[in-house]
Amino acid sequence: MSPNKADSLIPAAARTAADLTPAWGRFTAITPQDAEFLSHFELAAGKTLLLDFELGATAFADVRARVCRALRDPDGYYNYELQFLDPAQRGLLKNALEKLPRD
Amino acid sequence: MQNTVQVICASEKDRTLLRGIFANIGADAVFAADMNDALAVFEKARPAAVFFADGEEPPAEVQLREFRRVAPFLPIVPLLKRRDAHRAVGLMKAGAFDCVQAPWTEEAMRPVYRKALRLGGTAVELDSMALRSRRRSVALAAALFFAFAGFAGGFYYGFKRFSPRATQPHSFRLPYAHPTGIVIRESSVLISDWYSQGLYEHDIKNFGIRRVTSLPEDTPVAMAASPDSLWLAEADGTLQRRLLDARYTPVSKTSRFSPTPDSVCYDGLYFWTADSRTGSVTKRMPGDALTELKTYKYPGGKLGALTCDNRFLWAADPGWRALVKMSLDDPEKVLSRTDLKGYASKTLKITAVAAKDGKVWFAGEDGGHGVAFFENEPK
Repeated sequence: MSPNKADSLIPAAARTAADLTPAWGRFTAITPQDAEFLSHFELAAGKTLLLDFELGATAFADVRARVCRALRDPDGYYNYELQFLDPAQRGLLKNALEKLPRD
Repeated sequence: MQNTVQVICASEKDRTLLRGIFANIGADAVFAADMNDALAVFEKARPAAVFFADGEEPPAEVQLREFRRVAPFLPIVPLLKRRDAHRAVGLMKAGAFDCVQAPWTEEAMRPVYRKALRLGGTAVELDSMALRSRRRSVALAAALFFAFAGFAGGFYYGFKRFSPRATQPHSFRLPYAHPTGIVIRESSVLISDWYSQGLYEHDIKNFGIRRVTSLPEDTPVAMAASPDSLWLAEADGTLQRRLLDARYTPVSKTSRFSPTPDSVCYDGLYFWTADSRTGSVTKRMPGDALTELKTYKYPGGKLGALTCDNRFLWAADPGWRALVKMSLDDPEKVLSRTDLKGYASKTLKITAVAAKDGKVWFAGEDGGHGVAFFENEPK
């Protein structure tokens, strides 16, 4: 279920390789391997996305991730389970996540 | 849930478009020409969310900053004039809750509106445990008193109502005896009948028949409408999608559902089917296949017929002799039950329900003939 504190989560732009009009949404969770992405745009499961976002002071562009699962919540938002595909990008994400301040 | 939203838009043409969209998604939209007008309204009343058109003066970033300063927890949604993801992400970083892309449509606006209104904040409690405990004692004593008074009053009142007459102020007798589905339109009411295998379109004011469409190959047991289609549940357990043209041309058919649904409705996002014999209510994905998402147990006394609007599920319950309101998010939770006057007639069997514009409509059989009537939606 979508957390309804969505305005405090990390925003990201997402596009498929052939898509000229990208979508956007927010990460509700992120690890170096995978992420949960909340968006009101419909994206097909199995598609590969290119994501642009910022983690702390690090800006990421064209991070490759596959849509593993999509669930629509009662408000009409989609909750996507994403898996990051590129090992090099996973390493950069890990470094950026380690630098983020913890609660 | 408060549904008043502030909409800031300078262009009269855009305002006309947005007025229609917000009305259709059930929002009470208050329009302002610019940010200063909107902030003046803020001093008197606080909306549940603010939507403003991007690309006007002052810039969106300034508007976001000012609204966040006055109301830090209010969802603010810029309406983009083109689909620009990097602009959207930039505005979300600046404090926007989300952005709606152009072209502005009901489909694009509805999820963002619904999510913005459900934005949760910090749970606040003022009571201490001791105070709550004391309040519980007072409430218990009051409940006992009212229970006794209610019993005595009910005992007396029950005698007076021992043989009540069925009074239905907004009731219409139908020229057929086996109605199964009801759909409310702007100026007409569409009712399906399984025995005569037909769809009857009635004038909503006097219930005179405007048109009859014969369905010689089908036996409709329930009916619902989505914006562009009419859905008929068949006796064999399939659901048929038809166009809303003069002949209700068939377009597609689902596989057989088990148990066979005898109620069907569309809440604007999902389809719901129900089987009164097993008391099961099933949520389904929209689409030609109506794939099952989850099945719930009806929480009331006995399920007679089920319908929904974009806020609630409604059920006619012959067990409780009541209209039962349930949450779309949790259909196993009863939100309210309201005694239904129509059930004063012991022979009434309600077979179809529809909810629209603050009224709940019923169709069914009573003493060998078909009836349709409506009640105002309970508060």
